[in-house]
Amino acid sequence: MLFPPDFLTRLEYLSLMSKRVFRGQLLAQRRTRQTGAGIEFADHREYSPGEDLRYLDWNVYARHGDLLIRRFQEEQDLHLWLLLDCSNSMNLADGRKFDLARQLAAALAWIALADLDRISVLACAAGVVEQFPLTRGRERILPLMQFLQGLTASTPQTSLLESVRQFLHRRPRPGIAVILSDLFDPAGFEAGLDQLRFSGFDLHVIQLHHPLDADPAVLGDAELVDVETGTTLQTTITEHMLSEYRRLFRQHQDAVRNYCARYNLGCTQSGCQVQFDSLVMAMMKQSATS
Amino acid sequence: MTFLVPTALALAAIALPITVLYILKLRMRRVPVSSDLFWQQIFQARPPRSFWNRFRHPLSWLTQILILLTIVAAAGDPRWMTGSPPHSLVLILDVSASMQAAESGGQRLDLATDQARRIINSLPPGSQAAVIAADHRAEVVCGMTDHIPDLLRAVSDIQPSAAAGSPELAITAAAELLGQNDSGEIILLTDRCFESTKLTEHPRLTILSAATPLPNMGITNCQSLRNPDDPLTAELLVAVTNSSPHTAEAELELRLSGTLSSVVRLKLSPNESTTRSFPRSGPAGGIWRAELKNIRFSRDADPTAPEPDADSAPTDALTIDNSAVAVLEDAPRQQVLLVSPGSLFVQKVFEADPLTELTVLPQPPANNSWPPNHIVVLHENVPRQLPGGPVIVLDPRNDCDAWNIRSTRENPLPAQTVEMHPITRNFRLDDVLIPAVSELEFQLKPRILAAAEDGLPLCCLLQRPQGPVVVIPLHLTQSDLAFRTVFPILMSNTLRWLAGHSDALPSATQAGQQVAVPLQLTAPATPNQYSLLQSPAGKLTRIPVVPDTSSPLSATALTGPLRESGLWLIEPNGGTAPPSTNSNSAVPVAVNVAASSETDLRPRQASEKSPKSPPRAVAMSGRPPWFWLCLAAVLLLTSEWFLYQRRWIT
Repeated sequence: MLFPPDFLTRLEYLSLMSKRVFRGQLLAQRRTRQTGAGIEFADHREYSPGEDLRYLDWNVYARHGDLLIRRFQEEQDLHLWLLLDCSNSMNLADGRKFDLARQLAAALAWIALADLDRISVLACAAGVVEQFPLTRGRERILPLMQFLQGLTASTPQTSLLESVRQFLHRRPRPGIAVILSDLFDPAGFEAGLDQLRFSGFDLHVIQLHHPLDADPAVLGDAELVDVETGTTLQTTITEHMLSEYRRLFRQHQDAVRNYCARYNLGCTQSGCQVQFDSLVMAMMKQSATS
Repeated sequence: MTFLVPTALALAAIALPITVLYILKLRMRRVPVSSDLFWQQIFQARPPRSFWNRFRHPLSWLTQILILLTIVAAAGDPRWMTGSPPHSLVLILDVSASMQAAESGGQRLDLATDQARRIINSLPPGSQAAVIAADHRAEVVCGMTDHIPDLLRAVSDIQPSAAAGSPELAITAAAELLGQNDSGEIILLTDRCFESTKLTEHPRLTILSAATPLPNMGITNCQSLRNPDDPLTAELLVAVTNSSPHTAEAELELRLSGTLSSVVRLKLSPNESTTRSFPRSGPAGGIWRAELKNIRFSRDADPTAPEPDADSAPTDALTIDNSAVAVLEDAPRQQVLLVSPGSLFVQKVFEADPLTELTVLPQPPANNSWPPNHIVVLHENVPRQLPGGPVIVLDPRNDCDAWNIRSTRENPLPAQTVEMHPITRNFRLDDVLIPAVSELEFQLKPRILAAAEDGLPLCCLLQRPQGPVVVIPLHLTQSDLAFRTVFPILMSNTLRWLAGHSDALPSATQAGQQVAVPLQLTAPATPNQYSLLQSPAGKLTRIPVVPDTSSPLSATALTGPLRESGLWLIEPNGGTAPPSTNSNSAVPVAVNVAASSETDLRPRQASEKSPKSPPRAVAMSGRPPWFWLCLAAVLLLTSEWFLYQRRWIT
């Protein structure tokens, strides 16, 4: 069962834990990085002719003779965009990878809704397949769970770049974008993440993998079938090839981790055999210590 | 290298379908993966669907081809080219009883057959060989041939014998097989436990032996016998020999028809033999079975020798001579028909014999209808035509077809018996009053067993074609012969002799002998009549039966040589059911080793000579090439199994 009867109880617990961990840094109370018509001073910048003189810092001008414009932190509602991978690769074997991704999406949405933030869920594969519209309020968690329950991972192709493009065409308000995917994109994951990063989104990548993705544990004659493209590879798998595969998989995981570290993005990598609340707790601890 | 079965090499064509099937093996397990992203990177350098990639396991294919080739080569029975020219060889395997002795490496016969196989496998191509099994007879189990499998099969089919060994006949047969071939060689594989002095002088003979002196204690004779004078008593004679340099102790256990009869402790000095007899009384016979148990050897004969521990103590090496059987026949009961006008004394003489079933008639039966299987005793009244079969005539008073009464001689002087004969054993007429004797004129020449001084027959024997007739022409009513002790002795001797047990089987026969067994059939024998012979091991064989001309229900079965020791059974009337000792009709034949030469397991012949051409197989560790090829095939199969398992671990 995707959402067991105690699912909401466990979500409530996560919500409480998030308040204790972040202690006032939660989404709605957190300042966005947008500067504008707020009341809390942010920083200065040089004055350009034609700008509103009301924001000129006369005190600095009186003391130093420099014309500087005061900038303020603009306070606004935080938007949480959850981009959920619905491609076939998420449904490998018993579908535990896709289940965990949906449970994580529900948990993060619940935490955001509890803090009066707005959330939206986008099911992506070769593009945006389906969207749960932007919403707020805790009472929206049940429709969201119904939406997640109705999703199927049966779309044949993964294209993160195309999904991000379609997402950006909807002109979303910048906020936090959480990518829930295995990132097995033949075109590479970097281009899609770059697009989001350049568009001013705070990114958090949650990369999930099935144990069989990490170690196929198959030897001998086999016909490998790509569940997304349907292409087959008839081969004889040897121990050497298996070790090579494991090396390439680790290399892929390292690439994602290094990318996130390079651009200061949140990154969580996990197998699908863990519980969603344990994984969320781990994410919270990681966020609190970083 | 050459191949004895080159046609088997055609099996190598199987390599072609193996290769084709190897390439066509396309059905694979379907394994779904999230993405072939990484697999594609692995296969970038080598496309997996290329033709040569169908040889996904070239090592495995190569292994399978090698397995096939080694098996095909083994089936071809390859031979190493030794460079030596082909020659002729006759192998004689000693199969006598002593070859069943247990050496440290196994039975002597097994060691000999192993050696024979090695010699056969080492024969140069083109050589011819023959195999002879020898005990005291010679049996050519395979004639001269160059077909090695036939020779090997013949060696494997050789069965041990319980008979005594004497290979002279086999060597003669071997020499005849070789003929004028000067390069021919005779190899005798034996334990050298036989008495022969001329073997080493044979120019072509090579004796090979791995036998060592072994201690043994065995039964060298076992016979039972009824007392001919008193058939109610019998004796079993058992001879035991200790053929070792040690003092031997054992228990001799005797059973008669399965019932324990006696147990005797024996202690024999080195090389000592002893003979024990065991009396038995009563008319019933049975199967005597003598068995030596708990045989122990001690080295007290050599005080300087250290006392052996339990592991190294000498043990009895041959078990086949530890038991023996003998047949004790039932005391023969004889049916007697007394035709007498009435003589109480004569009647009581026959009634007093415990083995006689007497029937008394006052007159001869009408129409000469004499009962079969009876000894007819005619007293005074003699029919014109004597009955067939054995007849005793006492005091004849009238003529018949065998004699005419000429006169009556009065008061003849009795003399001694004129001829030693079983009938007249312990028979004396010295003090017998003989007032009158009928003087008979016989149609056939009588054999006079007792006579008066002037030659008048007092007791004579007529050998008719219809059966013997014993005539006692004394006038019994006037003589006191009927009151004398000599009369029942005479009648008893006569009845025993007429009952005719002189042709009975011996109580036990030495193994390897042929036996002629008299049989009593339930129906007249037909031209294709056969009897059923069961060996001690239970093997059934049909044996032909030769009908006797004298009696339609009598026949003789000639069979042998009986090479297995123990109790053989003959079912005279054939059939399919195996004979049983409980059956009334089954005839037992006891066969024993009964040869002191076989009981003595110490080689007595001179040391062996080396063969002219040493076996090439020794260089190959005593194994033929096909053995090593099969071994290689097994190793390759193991390798392929390992490769297969490595491919299919999931």
